[in-house]
This record gives sequence, structure tokens and C-alpha cells, in this order.
Amino acid sequence: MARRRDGTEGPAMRPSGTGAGWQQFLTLVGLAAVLFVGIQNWYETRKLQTAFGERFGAVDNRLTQLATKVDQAARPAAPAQRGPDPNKVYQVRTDNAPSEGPKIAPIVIAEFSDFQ
Amino acid sequence: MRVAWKHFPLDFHAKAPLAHLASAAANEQGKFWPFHDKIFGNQAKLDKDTYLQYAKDLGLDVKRFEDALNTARGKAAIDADVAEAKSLGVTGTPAFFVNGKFLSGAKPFAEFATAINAELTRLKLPIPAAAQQTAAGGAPAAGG
Repeated sequence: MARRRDGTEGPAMRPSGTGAGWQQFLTLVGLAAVLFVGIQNWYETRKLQTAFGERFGAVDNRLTQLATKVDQAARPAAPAQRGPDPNKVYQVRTDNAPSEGPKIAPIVIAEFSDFQ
Repeated sequence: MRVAWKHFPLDFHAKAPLAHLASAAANEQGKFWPFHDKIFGNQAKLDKDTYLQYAKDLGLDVKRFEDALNTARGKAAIDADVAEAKSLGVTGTPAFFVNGKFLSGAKPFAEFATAINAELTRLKLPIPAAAQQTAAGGAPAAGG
């Protein structure tokens, strides 16, 4: 029981200082621990992220290189030229060929053909 | 405009050689194109008897015609055409050369008209109005 200034008795008061102080101290320590763990986590995560980022970047580059190589290999070789070159002017002998039209004509069409 | 026929019997066409010889025999008597038209008019009938009949129909000297067939008189000319085709790189028929420029396959008339008009332009010759329309895809013009 605590004695008031006027002499009456009041409820017992806890002495200020030691009890609450310990609690506060422990809370503070707890908070600090949490903070510490949190900061460490954050730090480690950052490190991991950077590491992964670098790895992914490297893998990505490699994939792009490989994709290019595959594309180049898959590209078909230029098709072999089939038949006469349509951009060339050939000399076709038609003097003795069975012909329809005047012998001398500005346009001469030579037709290579089968009957069957 | 002149259209010239060049023989090109394909190796795997068994009936081709005789057909070409028959046409050469007709050519000997100045009737190549009518004979050619008869053959194309009925390509299922490719045999000696048919050719003799055609010769008769066209008023040819059948004896001379048959003799040409039997002795393969046209063979040298036909072989020369085939050799020329191969040297030009021709592999299939029909193959056309318009003033030496290659046009493959059986093309629609409009493509021919285009090629011919291009040549006329190059030679600075007028393009007939009908041919202009044809090149644009209209109905084929008669003659030319």
C-alpha cells in the first residue's frame, strides 16, 4: 500500500523504474532483432536478385546466339536453277524450223514442244 | 510475228518419236501446221495408221510420207532440236522463247501478250490496240 501525501492509504503503486524498464528493454531488443533479421533478409534477397539477374542475362544471350545459329542452319540452300534463265536473251535457231508467219518478223516465238 | 516449232520429244513419252517423225514428214510437203493441228486435235490417237490417215486427209503424197516415216528422214533435225533444247537448259514442255527470252510452261495468253508487247516496246514498234487490251487480261485478239 502506498501512502498519499494527505496520509490516506491508496493502492500500492509499482515502483517506477526497474519492472517497466525491463519490459521496454526487452521490447526494444526484440524490435532490434526483428529489424536486424529484416535488414539481413533484404540484403540477401538483393544479392540473390542481382545474381539471378546476371545468370538470366547470360542464359538469355546464349539462347539468342543459339537461335540465330539454328535459323541460319535451317535456311534452305538457294534452290538449284531449273530451266533457262528468264532474264537472259538466248539465241534459238529457227531458220529451218517449221514456222507460221513471215520469215522476217520483229517477234519470233520459238516453241519447244512434244506431241504426246 | 512468227511462231517456230522446235521438236522436243520427252524421253519417257514412248509414242513421241514417231509423232515427231510424222510431223517432219508432213513438213517435207509443206503441211506441218495442219498436221500438227490434227495431232493436237486428238492426242489419244498417236499411231502410224492415224498419221497415214492424216496425210491422206491433208492431200499429201502418202507414199512419200510413209517412206519418210519408215526411213526416219526427219530424225537428224529432231535430234538437233532436242540437243539445242538441252543446251538451253530446257527440261519440260512446252517451252517458249520470245525473241530469245524464256517463258516456261503453258502460260495464259495475257502473259504472252505482255512478253510480246515488251519486245515491241524494246524494238520501238507500235503495240496494236487489241494487243494492249489483251495484255491487260482481255479476250485474246485474232491474228497478230
